[in-house]
Amino acid sequence: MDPARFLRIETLFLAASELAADERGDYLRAECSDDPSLVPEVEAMLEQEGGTLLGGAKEFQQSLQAVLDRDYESDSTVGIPEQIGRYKVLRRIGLGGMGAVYEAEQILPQRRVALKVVRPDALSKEKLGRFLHEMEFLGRLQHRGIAQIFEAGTFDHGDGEQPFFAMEYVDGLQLLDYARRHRLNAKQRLGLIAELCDAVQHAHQQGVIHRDLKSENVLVTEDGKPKVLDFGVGRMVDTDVNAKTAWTAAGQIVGTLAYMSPEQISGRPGTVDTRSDVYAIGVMLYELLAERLPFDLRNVSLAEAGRIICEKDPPRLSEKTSSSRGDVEAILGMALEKEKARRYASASDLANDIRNYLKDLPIRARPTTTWYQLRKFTRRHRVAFAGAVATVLALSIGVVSTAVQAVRATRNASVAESNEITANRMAYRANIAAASSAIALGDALAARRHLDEAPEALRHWEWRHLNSRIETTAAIFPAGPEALTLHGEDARIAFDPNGRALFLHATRQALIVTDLLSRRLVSTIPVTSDLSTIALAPNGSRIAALDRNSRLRIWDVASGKMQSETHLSHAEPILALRFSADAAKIAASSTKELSIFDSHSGSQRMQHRVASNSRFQGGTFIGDGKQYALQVESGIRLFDTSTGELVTERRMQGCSQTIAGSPDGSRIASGTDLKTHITRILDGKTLATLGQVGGHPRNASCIAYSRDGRLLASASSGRIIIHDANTLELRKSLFLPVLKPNSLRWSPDGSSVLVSDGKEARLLRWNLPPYLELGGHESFIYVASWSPDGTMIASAGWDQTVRLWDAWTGKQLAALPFETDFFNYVGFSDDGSQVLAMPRREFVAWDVATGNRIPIREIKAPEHSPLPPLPRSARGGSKFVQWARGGQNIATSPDGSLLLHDYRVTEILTGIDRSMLRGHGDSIRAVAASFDNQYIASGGSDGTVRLWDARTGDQLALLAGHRATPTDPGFSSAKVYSVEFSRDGKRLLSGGDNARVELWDLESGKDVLSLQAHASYVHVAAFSPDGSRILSGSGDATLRIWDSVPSLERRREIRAAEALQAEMRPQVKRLMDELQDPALVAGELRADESLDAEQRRAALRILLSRSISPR
Amino acid sequence: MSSPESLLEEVYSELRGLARSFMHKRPPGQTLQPTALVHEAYLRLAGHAPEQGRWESRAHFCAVAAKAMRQVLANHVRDKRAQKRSPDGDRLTLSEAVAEGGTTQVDMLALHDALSDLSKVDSRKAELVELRFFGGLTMTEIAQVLDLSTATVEREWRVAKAWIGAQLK
Repeated sequence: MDPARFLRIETLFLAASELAADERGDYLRAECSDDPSLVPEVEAMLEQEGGTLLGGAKEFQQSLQAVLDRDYESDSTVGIPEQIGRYKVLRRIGLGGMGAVYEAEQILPQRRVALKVVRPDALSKEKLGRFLHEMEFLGRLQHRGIAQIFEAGTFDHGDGEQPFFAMEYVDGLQLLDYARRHRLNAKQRLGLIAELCDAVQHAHQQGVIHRDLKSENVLVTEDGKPKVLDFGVGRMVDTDVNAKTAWTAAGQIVGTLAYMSPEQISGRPGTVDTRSDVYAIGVMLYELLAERLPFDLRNVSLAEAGRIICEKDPPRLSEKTSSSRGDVEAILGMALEKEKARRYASASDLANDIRNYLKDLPIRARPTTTWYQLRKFTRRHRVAFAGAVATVLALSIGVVSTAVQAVRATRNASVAESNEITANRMAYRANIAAASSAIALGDALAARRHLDEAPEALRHWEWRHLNSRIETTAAIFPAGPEALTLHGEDARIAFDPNGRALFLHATRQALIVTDLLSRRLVSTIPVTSDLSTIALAPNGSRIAALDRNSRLRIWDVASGKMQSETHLSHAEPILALRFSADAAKIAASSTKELSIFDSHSGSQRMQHRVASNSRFQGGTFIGDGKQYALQVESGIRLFDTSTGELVTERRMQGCSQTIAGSPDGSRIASGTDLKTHITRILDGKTLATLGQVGGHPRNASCIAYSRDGRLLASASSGRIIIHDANTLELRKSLFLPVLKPNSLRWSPDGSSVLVSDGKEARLLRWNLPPYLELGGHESFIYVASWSPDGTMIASAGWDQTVRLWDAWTGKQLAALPFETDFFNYVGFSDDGSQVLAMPRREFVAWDVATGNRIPIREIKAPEHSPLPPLPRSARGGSKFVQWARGGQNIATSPDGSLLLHDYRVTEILTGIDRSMLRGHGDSIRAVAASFDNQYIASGGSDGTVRLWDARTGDQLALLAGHRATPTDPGFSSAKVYSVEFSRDGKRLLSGGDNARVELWDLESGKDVLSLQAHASYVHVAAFSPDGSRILSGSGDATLRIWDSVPSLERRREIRAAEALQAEMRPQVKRLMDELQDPALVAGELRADESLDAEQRRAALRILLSRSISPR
Repeated sequence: MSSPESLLEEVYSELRGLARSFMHKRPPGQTLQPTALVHEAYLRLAGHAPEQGRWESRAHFCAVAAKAMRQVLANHVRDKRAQKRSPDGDRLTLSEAVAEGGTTQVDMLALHDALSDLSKVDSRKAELVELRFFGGLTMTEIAQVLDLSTATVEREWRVAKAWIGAQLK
């Protein structure tokens, strides 16, 4: 049929349908005398008119379900495995889009679990690592109200590797079913929701937002306890849309919409926070009380659903609950606030209000007007105050009413404001936790996003630390304004065999190679002719330049000598010069022609020209340069570079310019799909497809194999993604601001990648450990301290040594043996000249410049101490002893007003009573005073950190969170061994048996970061004097420094220190030659007023390394 | 800004995943509605869209999704038919038929084909049916998406429905 005919039919149909049924036939026959075949067609349509076969949209949609439902029946008969991992499968509970859910039994420890098996196609191999990681993170969520995740792993029953995870099996009813079955009254239902809030609050404090809370996700056990399922599932999904599909699809599709908050349905993911979960709880509360959802969203379009959720108020609860309607409506109203800022700021606020309501106390959800408070008051004191009501009422109505209005307005504002503050804090913690987890998973992009979303005013050390772990960019090298723009921008960077990152640019006078990190010139080759294309060999050894007269010249970078000179005879302009990996060969290509030369002699090895309708996209030498892979739009051609022979060819559509070969020539990575932005991995010989990698939102603009061939990096604007070259698993994604890279090189050791857009270059260290490790102790480390200037660290431990370290380089400066395996304290004198140790109750000291022991009478310790001399902190807050062996435990404030000693025997020395620090039992392991002496922090074997008012001894906060490692509860305990304040009093550090360092926000009393710091217990956790670094020391015999400044930025300080030492070395040497005795030299240097503090420090450091060789 | 094709592709794969997963689990008392699938797809894709401005409005999205949804269902039925080799198994029972006391059946693939035919002669009508059946848009919303008056939409809908009905008979 043609459109004209259809139009005619349409016209006929519309006209005929206006007529009475018996007139239609005549009308049509008259109209269609020229084409009678139209008549039956229109009549058939008229028959349909009035709705016979195709009903309305609603009926149609209902009918579709029948087909789809039948598929469920047939698919659910798939066999059930007997065993998965170490679990015995009992039965299948459900079948979801993600995979199946089984009830299973674990033998040791004996327990029932719910096993969720992920279908192999629902989770790609790339994402498996992330999945396992994420599950481990979620395993840390331990709360009686949350179904716990025990373990995640994979199994293989012959159909490939299948991921699964085991979670607590919850035997219970869905929320509403439970309430109905047990005929709960309204108050009992409210109580259930309050308990649910507790669980959700706990997760929020760990930085996990559920995002998909709904009554189907809450089961109530036989004893009436609600448990939330699938906590954190939404979170996993946050960074990964596909995973989300796989996941939530297992949940209900239709049901989800009703629980979405306005900010969620508006589709602005950045604005979703813990308050979105609060909203969902509000919906559940409504549902539980009204036995229906606040909004009926069945059969409405999405646009309509969005409008309803964002604009309409839910209908009031039914008359059934009228006795309590006022308060409950108020609570519901505040939980279901459209505007986040006016909603309850946290789940615990909602729980409090519910509980207050249940106890007949005033609730927060309503502005506290006189009238309202009065009603509450009278209800509680119903008899006594019955008569008073009238009086108060008379007073409050009328004259006062305007004042009441004003108060109400301000209160409203402040409620919103304080909600905002709390919500801000929670948003901060949640973002920090998410960023931390994203970094652990290697996803710098997600981490960047979360860090950007963390409210700025709250950012502290943890934010800067995580930020420094993302900002791996080193030296950005801009070529400068005098640099020429030439072809060959994709061949300007290299690593030389020593690992130096090099950058090539050209000016009108010269070709210049620069060392990126030191900014030193490596080579300058004067060239005066007009250049068109330049290139630097991947190993940095040679430079090639083509001038406008088609003269190709090649120079040796080290000697600056020209190696060869040859003339090219291409018809089209040469766009690219490419060296082989060893720089022995060079390829020159235009859009049509490729020539390969021996770079030493300049003799041509091969030439290839494509058909006139085709053009070159990209190319690369393969392996040792014996072959060259040429990418054209329609495929890849592989040539033998010595004979020029076409070895093999593969036709593929949509090839991009991107191509790279593995060093051994076994693989070729090729940007071969302009549509899907994937990079195909091909066999280096046959060009058969072996696999693919992706992850870029657009085509990768460059790819490169690491020198050992084990890693594959690909870059596009904004990101670099590193894959395992063999398994093709995602290893890491790096954040790359601004630059649009067109070339990428691996450092020889595989630790860094260098990218460039031809105008500037950046070095990214992609696998740096998040800390600087100080290794040398042979056994457990008990105590360690920073020097007052933050340049040195002293440590002591079970291996009977006190060791000194350079705090910048991490190098050991000295090992001072001492005949004891137990130290209460190690640290520095106020002026940094002595290192002090306290093996038992007496001090020993060494000169930090010579390592010489210092006689007792010369030890620089505070005079006022009643104990064997205690060193006084130079900088306010102090913490002397962290270990409680033999009951020795001491803490002091600098003015000596507060001194604790020996908790076990309760020996009180001054100012403070043992009863002050109650609560840990008799197991206090660590004490510290804040720098302003207002607070004391203590940590104990009970797994808590407590904060006390130093004057009154009142406990101010209980910081619980030193959890034992969840995956293996028997392995480590929650005991706290170390506490310390930050200088500004905003943060508290603690370390303990769980091998972690926890960082607490003292304004909110919550932990903000948990560093998986060591392999064994953490006995030392200390801020550097400037607060930028954290030192941790552990039973694993290592010290680690965690920085909040990117390590590559620290290089500058290290370099400056090195330069200064180089400058001072001759003077120290001269003095040593002259005086012979290091002690005399130290005295001389300390007295030399011509030296500034830094020069003196450098000189003394040299002296130390000369006088003591590290053990 | 993605091209319209890649957007359609993305929505299609999303919907396919959702539909497939739904088929593996039938929650008690719940029924699959293509409209709900479209909603779900929107929440996933719009909620996590890395860049702004990939579609102008929810209605625009629904229009794209409706097209994808139709494809998903047609492919689904085709696959199943290939597996089971029982063409009758895929007939849709229309609840409306109950009112008449009989059973009338619609074949999803026939509907799909009819729509394809319709789009050749009057693509706007085909799109309208898609939006109505697979996107779950109201007449008013369709009028907005297609930039037509409601009266025109109503009229075109009548024609389209009657025509398709006649093709399926």
